[in-house]
Formats: sequence, structure tokens, C-alpha cells
Amino acid sequence: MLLLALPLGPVLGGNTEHEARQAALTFGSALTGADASSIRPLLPSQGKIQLTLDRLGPERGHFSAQQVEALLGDFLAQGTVRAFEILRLECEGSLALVHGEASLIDRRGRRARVEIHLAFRSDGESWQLREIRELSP
Amino acid sequence: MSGDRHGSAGTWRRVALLVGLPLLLWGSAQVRAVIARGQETPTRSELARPLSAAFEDLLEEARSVAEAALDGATWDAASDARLERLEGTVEGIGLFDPDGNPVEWWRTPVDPAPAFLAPAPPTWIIRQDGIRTRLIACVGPNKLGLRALASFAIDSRAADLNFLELADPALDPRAIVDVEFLDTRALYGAGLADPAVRERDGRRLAAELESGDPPRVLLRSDEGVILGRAEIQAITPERRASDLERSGRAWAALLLAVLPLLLFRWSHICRSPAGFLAALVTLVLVRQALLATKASIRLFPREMGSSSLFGSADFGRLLGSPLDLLWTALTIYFAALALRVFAGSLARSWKRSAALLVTVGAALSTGALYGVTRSLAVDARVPLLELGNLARYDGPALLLLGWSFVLLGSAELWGAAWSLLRGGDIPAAVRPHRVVVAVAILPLAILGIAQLHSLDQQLAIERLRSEFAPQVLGQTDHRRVTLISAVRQVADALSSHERPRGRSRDSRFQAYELWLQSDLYQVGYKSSLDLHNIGGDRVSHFGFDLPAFDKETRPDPATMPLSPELHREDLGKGAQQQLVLHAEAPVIRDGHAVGAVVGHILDAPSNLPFIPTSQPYLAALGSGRGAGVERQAWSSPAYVLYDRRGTVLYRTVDQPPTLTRELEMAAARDGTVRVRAAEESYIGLPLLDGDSLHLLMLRARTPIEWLGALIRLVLVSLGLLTLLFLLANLFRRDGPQELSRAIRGSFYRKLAATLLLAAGVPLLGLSLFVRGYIESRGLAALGESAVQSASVAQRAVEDYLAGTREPIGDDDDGDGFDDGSLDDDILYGLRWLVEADIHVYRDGRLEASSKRELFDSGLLTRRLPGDVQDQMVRQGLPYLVLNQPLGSAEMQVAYAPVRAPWIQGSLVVAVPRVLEEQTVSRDVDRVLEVLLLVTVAMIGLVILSAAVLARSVARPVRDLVGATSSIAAGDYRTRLSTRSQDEVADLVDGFNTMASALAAQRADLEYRRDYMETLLGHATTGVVSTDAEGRIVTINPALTALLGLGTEQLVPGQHLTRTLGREEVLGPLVEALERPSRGDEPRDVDLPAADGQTRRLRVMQVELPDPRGAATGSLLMMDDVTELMRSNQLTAWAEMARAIAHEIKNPLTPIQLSTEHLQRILRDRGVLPAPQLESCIDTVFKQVRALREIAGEFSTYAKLPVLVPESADAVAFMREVVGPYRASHPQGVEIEEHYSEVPPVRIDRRVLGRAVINLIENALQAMPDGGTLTVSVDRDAAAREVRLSVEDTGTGLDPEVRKRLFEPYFSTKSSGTGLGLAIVQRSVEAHAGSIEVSSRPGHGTRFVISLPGANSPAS
Repeated sequence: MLLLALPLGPVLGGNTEHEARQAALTFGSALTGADASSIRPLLPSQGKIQLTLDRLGPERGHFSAQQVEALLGDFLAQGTVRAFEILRLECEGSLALVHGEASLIDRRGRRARVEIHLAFRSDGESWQLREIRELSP
Repeated sequence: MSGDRHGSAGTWRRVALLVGLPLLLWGSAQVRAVIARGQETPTRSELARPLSAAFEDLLEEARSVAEAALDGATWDAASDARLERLEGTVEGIGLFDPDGNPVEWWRTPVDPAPAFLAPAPPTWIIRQDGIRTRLIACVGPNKLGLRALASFAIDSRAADLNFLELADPALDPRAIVDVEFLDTRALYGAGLADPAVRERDGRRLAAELESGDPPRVLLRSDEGVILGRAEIQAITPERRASDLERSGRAWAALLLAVLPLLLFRWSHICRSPAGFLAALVTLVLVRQALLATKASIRLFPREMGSSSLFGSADFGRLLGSPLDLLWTALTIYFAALALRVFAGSLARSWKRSAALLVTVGAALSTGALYGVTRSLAVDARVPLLELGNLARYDGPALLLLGWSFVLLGSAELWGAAWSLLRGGDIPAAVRPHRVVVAVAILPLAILGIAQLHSLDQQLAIERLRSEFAPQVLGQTDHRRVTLISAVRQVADALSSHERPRGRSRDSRFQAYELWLQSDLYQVGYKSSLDLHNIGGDRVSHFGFDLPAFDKETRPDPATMPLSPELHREDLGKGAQQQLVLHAEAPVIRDGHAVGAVVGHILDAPSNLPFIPTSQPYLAALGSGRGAGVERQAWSSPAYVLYDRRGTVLYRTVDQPPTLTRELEMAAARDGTVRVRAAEESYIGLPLLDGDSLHLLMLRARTPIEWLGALIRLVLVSLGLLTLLFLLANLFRRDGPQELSRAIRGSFYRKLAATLLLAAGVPLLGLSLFVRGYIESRGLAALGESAVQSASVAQRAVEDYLAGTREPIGDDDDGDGFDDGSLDDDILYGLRWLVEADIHVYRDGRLEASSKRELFDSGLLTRRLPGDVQDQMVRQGLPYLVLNQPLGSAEMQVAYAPVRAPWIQGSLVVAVPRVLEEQTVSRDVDRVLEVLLLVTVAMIGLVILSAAVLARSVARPVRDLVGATSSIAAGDYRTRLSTRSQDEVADLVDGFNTMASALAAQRADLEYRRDYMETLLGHATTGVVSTDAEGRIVTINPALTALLGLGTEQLVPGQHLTRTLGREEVLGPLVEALERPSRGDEPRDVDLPAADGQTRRLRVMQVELPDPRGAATGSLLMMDDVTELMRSNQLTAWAEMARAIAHEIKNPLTPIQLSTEHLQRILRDRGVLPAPQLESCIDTVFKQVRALREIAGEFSTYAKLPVLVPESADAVAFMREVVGPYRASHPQGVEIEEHYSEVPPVRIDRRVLGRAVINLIENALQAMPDGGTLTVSVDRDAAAREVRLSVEDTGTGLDPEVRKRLFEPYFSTKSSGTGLGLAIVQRSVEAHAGSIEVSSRPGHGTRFVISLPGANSPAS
């Protein structure tokens, strides 16, 4: 068995982790601030973003950046996110997985606490959202 | 002015409706909201009542199925029970003996729970098998001791099953927040078998299960068993009111959008700049109103109104959803139409400006088309080029329709611009010909679809670079971080005392449920998760495509570091390398380790999330969560891994491309390259990674596929537009009739349609037949391939069993050999050989599987389908291929019996095939693509042929129609020519002959008509014909002149008597005409003349019968007989005068002679002289003389004077006549003479002189007390006449006297014959002249003699 150490030292890792956390917080504040356009800096200019949403959606599939923004706008026009909290963050190389929890009222007016997993990928300059996944209770 | 006022009122009325109706709608919503706010909130039990009722119905249906199975056969039970709510959810039905062993079964029922075998079993239970929620109904035993069981797959969460929809689609999803089914076995334990315990535990459990905020509502069976609970949310009045207000606003906006189209005629309004501006402002306002009220998302289904299927946050959300795109597209389309109308109006005076305006508009709309197309390519969840999405989703049709409207708007403007720029007429610019628009559409459509295709490909390459390439290049990093994240997530979940998410309380499923919630599943890795207790024993395991290799490993949670530990292991066997990443973490509760979580991820190139082999299983295992069917909507890339020597280490395609220098160079420059693999073309993205080269490949659309996509999109777009316009026409007033007329009114169209139907329908039928044949051949090939796979698996298992058959000392069957056993590891190894997963069933139950997770997850039951058991084991069928459900999809499974006589029981091998069907269907699709192209090409050919044929047949007919119309319009020179020799040629000849005959007849008729018109025009008799109603049909000028009317006063079409009745002087005539006529007898009508005289008309009225004898009108002929009558009268007078003169003259001579004789006798006898006698004789002589003079006058009057005319100077003549009077100086009378220079006249000096003297004598007699006698000569140049007038200042004449002045024997004097003026008149008329008199009593009288000049024709 080959023991693998996590690449990149804690110094570098700490910096990238901080940036990834900031990106996740930006996402969270866009939800709580009901301003879908705030997530625009997090969205990639190329490729699609995978969504697996239930209470925030329901949506499943791959969506363009503009479509994701529009979808979140759709949700925020009818539902509310009252709080967003980061539970865990794993960062490795250019990939960061963020697990957060949102307290929300969905389109039907149901209160719920949902776990939201975000996948960010770094293009060297910024962290870009590649996946938003919601785990329903 | 009045019209303007009406128009203005109408406009204001429409504006009022436009504003009023939406306001009314909005107001009513507000009122309803106010009422809703005043209502009470319904209680939870009220809200839950329909749910409970629906649940009870569902339970009853389940029981009825089980009862039907017990009464009859298991395979008929589902149809016998006539399912409604549970339709399609039956998993299996079985009959079981008292020990729970299956006797017969249909499909794959679960085993009966122990509680069902108890003496007083519950009828229903709920089982939570992983993701599956099963409702199981069991009834019996019957007289044979058999029990029937029916199991149904119901699930309130999974995407493939929605309990709420099963129970009652009408249930309000806002009120029912969640329905949670409870595993009754876990809930009641062993007490489930005992009714008393069930009841006791039920009370305790109810208190526990109802708790929560808000309290839950329990779902029970009628036996009191708790089967589930529901979270009900009360909808507050405020919420209801808010919903009403929002929807009211949205409806009002929608109404505001629709009403302008219905209320106003924009085609007229847009002709002025103000109207055009108003149209644009209206369109923008309406669009903004729809946007602001979010009408799309509030009023329409989600796929249409939200961004789910398509949407962009750009452009101010004008393209925020399929419906938003449609609204925007309609706005562009109507704006284009408005611009076109306005430009058409502008072009009347500013043609260049209009052309420029339309061209700019066309360019803008083309820009909009580009933007919309780009957004469609980028911002759609599903590719628009895949037409299958049209059937699968609601939105794509709207997207295509919207795109088509933008395209149409742009084409209309380009058509108009073209018409204006080439100098076409204005109507052509306002409404370009359809052909022009169609010609404009085609390049725009091709460009648009080419852009769509290009963007589609470009986006795919972008996705390769931005999504898949990082996954490939950083695959180990990704696996590592995912595994650490997952293990930490699961450990945290277990540490925090959280019940595993999901509803199962069966610990066997705990690892699966945690795996499902973790990133391991969500990302889609081949991985496994193990849960260990504090002793290191594995309590739960779940692996996806990764078996439990290290079964003997016992981790020690107590010594594990808190953070997940990660290392790499090779868990392969023999030559088979299985590198996996291993991570473990302790589960800590209250500061102590209570267990451990161990996770594995296969660390191999085959374990990339996008590898297609995993997709169907991931989709099924998640039942729609996470990796779902949507992953297949975007085709996954193919993947090949090469080592430095070009050896293929891993591939997802058959026949991967060879590693070439070109590939390496493309990888070095980070470019893409075209490659071919398995006879297909791909766009490849090579990626260098140390000594390896990864090649990601995306299938390139072939020209045929591209053409197919183009044709399909154009056809569907045209179809949608046609449908829309047909619907619009059908709902318009007189629309259906117009449509019917358009088709039925053209021989060419009917013929073309008939030919098209006659050729197209069989062609389509043939195409469908071929399509069906190809598909069936594809299915057959798939079946054959499945049988082959099953055969290989069968042989592999048989070989394995034969190879491992070892003699043993004592065995159950006494043959001295091992009976052969199989486990998952063996099948996992065999699957590499078979290249497919393998399940093995013994006696109808699962014994081993290389895909154990399908059963561990509860997705599949461990029972062999009843059909297979029946046909294969009992009937000996060698192979069987069945389609079986796999989550929401289906998979093909091939079955084959294992022929190993030495083993106990019956073994059946099953090979599931999940990707082969896709491969075959892709091949079939490709063939069908070609078929589609061929069909479309042939239909195009048929259309063309039908059009040409119909044209060639219809052309002579159309020419005949045109020629007939020309002849009908009066062009009789029209002739046809034909090159054909058939019946059409005879028809053309016949037509030409007929045309010649018609032309001749027409010429003859025209000659006759002209002749008649000339006759009538020159006739002095007035002629008028009337129709049956008395309206004038024809009239000649003589009649209007006769009646003293202008030619414009009496024209055809007017009612004769009503028109004549307007003239007072014609009253007697009208009266006469209105009196019924007596046959053809003429009637004389006297009319007052302008000079006080009376005119006499002779009227003859003749009825005009039609050939059938009925009166169709009448013919009136009128003559002025005044002169005739006078002439006749004068002739009579003259005759009488002549007779009198003769009768008087004859006795006068004997009287005179006798008197002279008597005088001589008396003188001779001496009687004379005697004064008295001489006085008598003298009197006789005087009277005889007087009588002789009278007779002479009579004679003079009776004889027309024989004129001896000579040219004379009228002045000299008058001087000569007046001379004696001038010389004699009549007493008291002054004579005045006025002479002008006049042309000579031809007169008989003697006759005319006597007439003038007569007039002078009369004048002198009229002035007994003196006066002035005025004699004058002048000229009437217009009439070319010379006028001689004699005027006195005497007593004048009464009108009555003046009227009769020229009548013979009329005299106002006591002496005289009354013939003087009559003789004067005759003398003047003998000179072709006329005499007129004018007089005023007390002022005098004037006679004017008018004589024609010597050179005039009258003279």
C-alpha cells in the first residue's frame, strides 16, 4: 500500500481554503441577500454547472452560468433563504468541496433546513462554481 | 366630422376596455384577497382528510390485488383488480405455502414477512428496503392454506415514484409538506404478529410519531397499524391572500398583453408615426408588465415559465424562460410587422427613407435572431437540436416557436426591404409576397441552425476543456478529496446521533443510505462504504461496482486519528490490479470512539464520473437523486488512455484511434483534432499527463446528422407556425370558410393536394413501415446479442462450476462431489470475461451477483421473475430476454439456465444489459436519420412533381379561365393556342371557334345598337323606355328637349314619373302617364308653355312584353303636336274661308247685276230718282261691295300667297312702307324709326309690305288719342335673323286677347273680319319667318317679325 500524503503544504492550502471559503460565503450571501446576480463572479464563463436541487429547485442537470443565475433568481422571487452556514470544507489542488446548511422557506412556503454541497474549481485566479447539490432531509 | 367623432368614441371605448378589464381582474383578485384574509385557517386534520381518504383507497386496491391472486391466478390478479391509484406500481404477486415458500409467483414479489405467517396477521405492512418503499398486502390463508401476497413499489421522494401523485394528484402540494412511510417491521418488531401487542404498541408509538413541530398526522390501516405519517402545513389566510394578489396581477398583465391584439386594428394604426410609436410603446409596456408580474412563472407550468429548461439572466431576463422567450419573440415579431406597415405608409412619399428604415429594422431583427439563437444554444438544459426533447418536455416547442417568430419577423422585414429597394410598389412592401418571405426565411433558418449547430459543437468542446479535462487530469486529486469529504461527512453524521437520512431503520441499508447521501454517490464514483462497530466488526456495507475486498480487515476505531486517514491499496487478485483509495475515520460520540467509517474509491481511469457504464446504475440507485437521467441528456465524452508507447490502457469505445504524431502535437499545443473510432467521427481533445496521454472524444455530428437536424428543426418550426396560423384562422370570423374557399377555389390546389396525398401517403406509409422494420431488426439484433451474452455467461458459470467440482466425502445428494457454490467475488471475476454483470439464481432466489448493490439497495428484489421461472425452469426454454424496470428506466436482461446436472436445484444465470440498447438504438437512429432524409427528399420530390404535374394539367384550364374572363370583360380578340394534340387541344379549338362566333355576334349587335342609338338620337319624336318598376332604361335627347329638361335631369335609372313629377309644368303629363293607358291609343296632353301658350303633346305608351308574355316595362313615344294642330286648324279655317268666299261671291254678282238692272228699270220707268229708293239701292251696292271685300279677304286668307321673293334691304323696305305715314303725319302720333345695318332678306315686297301696313294700321288704331309709333329694324346675330318691329304706346292687350290674337275671325273690333293678323302671320310664315307679340295693357304692344337672312338655309 502506498501512503499518500496530501499534496501542497498547509500554508498554501490555508490560503486556497480561505479563498474557497470566501467564494462559498459569497454564494451564501447571494442567497440570504436575495440577490442572484451576486453569484455572477463565481460562475464560470465556459462550460456548464451541475445542479441537483430539490427545495431550491427542483432542478437536476447541467446549466449555463446565466441559466443558473436565472434559476436562483426564480427561486428567490418566490422563496427565501434565511441563513447559510458552512459546515465543512475540503480543498485539494484545484478542487474545493464545501458543505453548507441553509435555512429556507421554499416556493410552497415550507420551512426547511437543507444541506447544500458546493463544488468549486480554481482556474488559478478565482474559484468557480461547478456544482450545487442539495441534500434533502 | 361625424365619422371622426364616432371613430374617436370607438377608440376611447377600446382604450377603456384595455385598461378596464385588467383593472377589473386585478380588483377582483384584491377583493378575493381581502375576503381570504378574513377567513379562518383550516385545521391540520381538515387538510389531512383527503390524504387519509386517498391512502385508505390505496390500501384497498392493494388488498384487492392480493385477494384476486388468491381467488384466481397470480398473473391475472393485477388486471382483475382493475387498479387505478396503484397502476404501474405492482412489483410482484405470489402465492405462498404456510411455511412462506413460494408456490407460484408473477414478476418479483418479496418474501412474506414472519408476521404474515402468524395466525392473525396484519393485512398491510410497509417495508423500507433502501430507497424503495414497498407496500405489501397479504391475505389468506385459503382452504389450501395458501396465502397471497402483493408488493407494490411506492415512494414519496424518489423521482420515479411520487406517492402524492399516486394517492391523489388533486391533493394540494402546498398543504402536504411531506409524507414519510414507516417500516412497520422495524416499528413494531415481533409484536407486529400479535393484534393485542400491535394495539398496545400502536398507542405508544402514536404519541412518539405524532410529535414534531408541527405535529404529524398518522396514516394507519383500518386495523390500526401505523404505516406512515404526514407533515401538514396550514396555509394561512395571509399566504392565501398573497397568492391571490400575485396571481391577480399576473393574470391582469396577461390580459393586458392579449387585449391590444383583439381590440385594435394595428395594421391601420401603424400607418402614422404616432400610431407606430404607440404600437412600439404598447409592445414594450406589455412585455415589461409580463416581466414585472412574473406572469410566466406564476401562471404556467414550471418547464414553460421558469428557467428550468431554458433561461438566461442576461437581457434583463427577457429570455428568462421558454415563455419569456416566446413573449419576447412575439414582441419582436409584432414590432417588425408594425415597422413594415409604417414603412409602407412612409414609402408613399419617402421611399428611400422607408427602405432605409426597414433595412435597419431587418438588420436589428437579424441581430435579435442571432442573440436568441446563441442563448438557445448556451442557456438550454437540453440541446434543441435533439428533437426527442420536444416530446419529452413542454418547453422546447415554445422555444422553437419563439425562435420561429423571430425568424419570421426578420424575414418579413428583409422581404419588405427587398421589395422597397428594388423599387417595388408600396402594397408589396407593406405585405411582401409569401414567396419573397419564404426565400428570406430559408437562408436565415439555415444560418440560424448552422449557428446553433456551431455553438452546440463549440460548447461541447468548451465543456471538454472546462469540465471533463480537469476531471481527467486531476482525477486522483478529485477522488482523494471526494473520499475524505465523504468519510468525514458520514463520520460526522454518525457522531452527531443523527438518524441516517432516509427512512429505513434496517441497519443493513445504513451504509447504502449514507453512501447515497455522500459525495461518493453524488459525484458518481465506483466506491464503497463500510460501517464498523467499536470492535471493528463490519455492521453495514455498500459498494458500488466495488466489492468488499478486505472482508477480514478489522479497523480499530480507538486508535484512528480524528481526521480521515487516506492511503492507496492494491486489492486486486492475481494479475488483476485493483488500486483503491482507502480512507477511514472514527465515529466519536461523547468523546469516545464508538465505531469507524471506512470508504474506498477505485483509483483507476475507469472510475471517472462521466464514464457511461456507471450512469444507468447511478441513476437507478439514486432514483432520480443527484446523478439522474439528465446526465444522459448531454452525451458523455468517450475516453481513451494511452501510455508513452501508444498502448491503450483504458478505453470506453471499441476500436480507439491509434496514438499518432498528430494527436501528440495537438496535445502539446492544447488543441483539438478530428479522429475516427469505431467508424465514427469524433472531435478529440488530447491531454498530456506525464507519460500518459488522455484523449477525450466527443462525437462530431456527421453531415447527414446535421442535415437531418436542420430538416427536422425547419419542419417542426414550419409545422408549429402552420398550426398556429391555422388555429388563428379557424378561430377568426369566417376563417374556416376562407380556408375552405382557398383550397376549394383553385383547381390547381385541389389537383396538387390530391396528387400529393395520392403519392405522399403511400410514401409516408412505406417510410413508417421501413422505420418499423429497421427498429424491429435493431431489437432483434439486440435480442440476439443478449442471447449471446447470456450464452457466454452460461458457459462461463458452467465451466467454473465444472472446474471447481471436487470430490468430497459425504454430501447431501450422495454423489460424492461438491454441489458447487457461487459467490459475488466469483461472479465479479467472471464479469471481466463476459464483459457484463452476472446474477445467478438458485431455485428462484438470488444466490450471487457481480452487482450486489442493486439488491442491497432494495432496488431489485432477490427473486427470479415469475415468467423466467415458469418458462425456463418448468418449460425448459433455453434462453429468455426480458425488459425489466431499473429505477425509472428499463434494462434488458438475458436469462439462461445453467446446465450442470450435478448441482442441487435449478440455476439460472441473468445478464443485465444497460448500454447495449443505447448502442443499438444509436445505430438504428443513424439509419433512421438517413431514412428521414430520404423520406423528406422523396416527399420534396413528390411535392415538386405534384406541383409540376398539377401545373401542366391545370395550366390549360387556368388559361381557359383567364381567356373566358377576358371575353367576359369584352376582349373578344382573345384566342388560345396549345401544343398538345389531346382533348385539351379540341377544347382550345372549340373555345377559339366560340370566341370568333361571339366576336361576330358582338360586332353585329354593336352595329345594331349603334344604329338604334343613331335613330333615337336623331328622331324628333321623344322616346323613353322604362322597366317594370317604371325606371328609365333608355331615353333619347328629343324627349328631354320636348319636355324642356336638361339631358342630366332625366337619365337612365331614374324613376320616370317621380322625376317628371318634380317639374310643376309637367304635372298633366305625369297624371296622364299614371293613368292606365287604353291599348296603343295615343293621348294628347296639353302643357302650359313659357309664353302663356299651350303646348300639346301626343303620347303613345306601348307595353313591352318579355318572351313569356309578362310585362317588363313600357315604351313611351312623345311628339309636340301643337304646330300640327294649329296647322290643321288653319287649314280648316282656310277651307272654310275659301268656301265662304265662294258662297258669298257667287250671289253677289247676280245681286249687283239685278240691282243695277232694277235701278235702270226704275230709272227708265221714272220712278227714279226717288231719294228713298236711291238710298236703298245705294245701300245694296255698298253692302255688296262690303261683302265682296269680305269675300276677298276670306279668299286672300284661304289662298296661300304665292310669293315672288327677291333680295331686299330690310331697312329700305321698312323706310318705303313707313314713308306714306311719315308724310301724312297721323294726328297725335309721333313716328320713330330705328334702323340698324342688317343683312339682306328675301321677301315678296307686296305681301310683306301689306302685312307691315296691317300692323301699322293696327298700331295707329290702338292709339286713338295719339302716341308714339316706333318702327325698327335690327339683327339677331345668334339666330342669324333680321327683326322688323312695330311698336305702339296704345292701350295694349289683355293676356287672353294676346293668346288668341292670331286666330282667324278673332277681333276686338266691332267691324272687320278678324282675319288681318291671321293673314299677317300666314304672310310672315310664308317667308319662313315668325311673328311674336308682346304687350302690357295700358302701355302698348310690340310686334316683331323675324325673317331669316338671305343667305341662311331657312331662307
